[in-house]
Amino acid sequence: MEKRGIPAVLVVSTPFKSLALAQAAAFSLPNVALLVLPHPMGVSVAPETAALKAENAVEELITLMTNQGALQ
Amino acid sequence: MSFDLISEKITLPDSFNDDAWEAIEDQLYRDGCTDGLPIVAPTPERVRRMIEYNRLDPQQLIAAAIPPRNGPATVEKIAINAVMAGCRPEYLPVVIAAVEAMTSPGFDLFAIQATIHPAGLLTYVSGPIAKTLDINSGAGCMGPCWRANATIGRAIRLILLNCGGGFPGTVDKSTHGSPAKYTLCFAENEDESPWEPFHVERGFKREDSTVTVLATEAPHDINGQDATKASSLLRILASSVISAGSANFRFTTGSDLVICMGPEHAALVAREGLTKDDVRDYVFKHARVPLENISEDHLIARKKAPVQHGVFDGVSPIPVVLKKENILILVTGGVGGHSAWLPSWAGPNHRAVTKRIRLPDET
Repeated sequence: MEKRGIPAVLVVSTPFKSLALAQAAAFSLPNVALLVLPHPMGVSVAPETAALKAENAVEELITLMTNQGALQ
Repeated sequence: MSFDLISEKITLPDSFNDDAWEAIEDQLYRDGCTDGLPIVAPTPERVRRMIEYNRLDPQQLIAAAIPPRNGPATVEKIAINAVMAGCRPEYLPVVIAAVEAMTSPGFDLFAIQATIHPAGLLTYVSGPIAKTLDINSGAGCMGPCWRANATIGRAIRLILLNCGGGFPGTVDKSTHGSPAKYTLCFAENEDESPWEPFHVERGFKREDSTVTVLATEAPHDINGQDATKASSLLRILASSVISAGSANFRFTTGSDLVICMGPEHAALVAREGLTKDDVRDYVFKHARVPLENISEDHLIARKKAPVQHGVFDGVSPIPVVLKKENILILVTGGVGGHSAWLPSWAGPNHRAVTKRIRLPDET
């Protein structure tokens, strides 16, 4: 998507960072914009906890979204 | 044809002895290249012998990329892993056909490698090569003690690990893993099957040999020892595969599910004139999870995301597969009133892929 000029950020929770990095390496994208959220985000946390984690990540998400040029 | 091997080589010490073999095994283990069991050291001589036996070009590309690492699967790379697994040279064509199958378009190998589900890779052999290679199709065929079963399936796992990078925890995110991730290879019990061979059912010639791959869990037993008539057995089969915790049920969107009928069970239903398709038809119609067995949250998920979970009308019991063609009926095993079923990992449309095995004397 970035190659098409659309800002993109890959969002994963902590245990999936290694998988995301392996896949990024396989596609020669070492500088992929990656937002890592503290695990878990799914069914084992209360919705308000998940929402709080998301809110805490917004600033970094915006930075990653708006700073794509620096990643090239 | 060139027989140059181009893979990275480990240099042996001058004072080569048994300790050096252990050092090689230890290094490969530390590098994350093994399944934890001791391996056969893939010396250039052994790898070359395997490739030459099959009259193949080591640099022939069988699959451009094994995801997620996307390492290429050349004949040389496949042979290295097959040697490590303990394969005899004549097993290589089966392993190659399995690699072709699991990298076929539409077979979701990336997801299988990375999923949190405990998916092994079923490698099912049908046709005359099963006897030639002594791939066990009878008593204990899903268990230990047959070299072909043990090492062909193991070679597939090592390829997924070394070419695909599927190391547990980092890339392979399976919550528990599975013994099926060590090896999961067996053959059709064609001699005791009352029906046409599996590969013929799938459109191949009777004299062909094929390998079929599907990402499945380890086998679940179906004890049908008390069934004396087809109707009893069919009810046991259908009621055994309706686990509301299986991936097949959670994602009823077109994925396959395997039922391995023991020869006595196959004979029982065939005696009453039933075909494999009759079995499939009955199981599809009756393997439905009653709503009282389904959690409220899952019913909500079905309503919110039918594309992910499958269509649900709000009142009817939910089938474990989308259509009857998603049920693969195999005939395997030895004596006894047992069958087995293997839920698949059930990605959005996870279908078994069958490939013909090419033998060395073919041009």
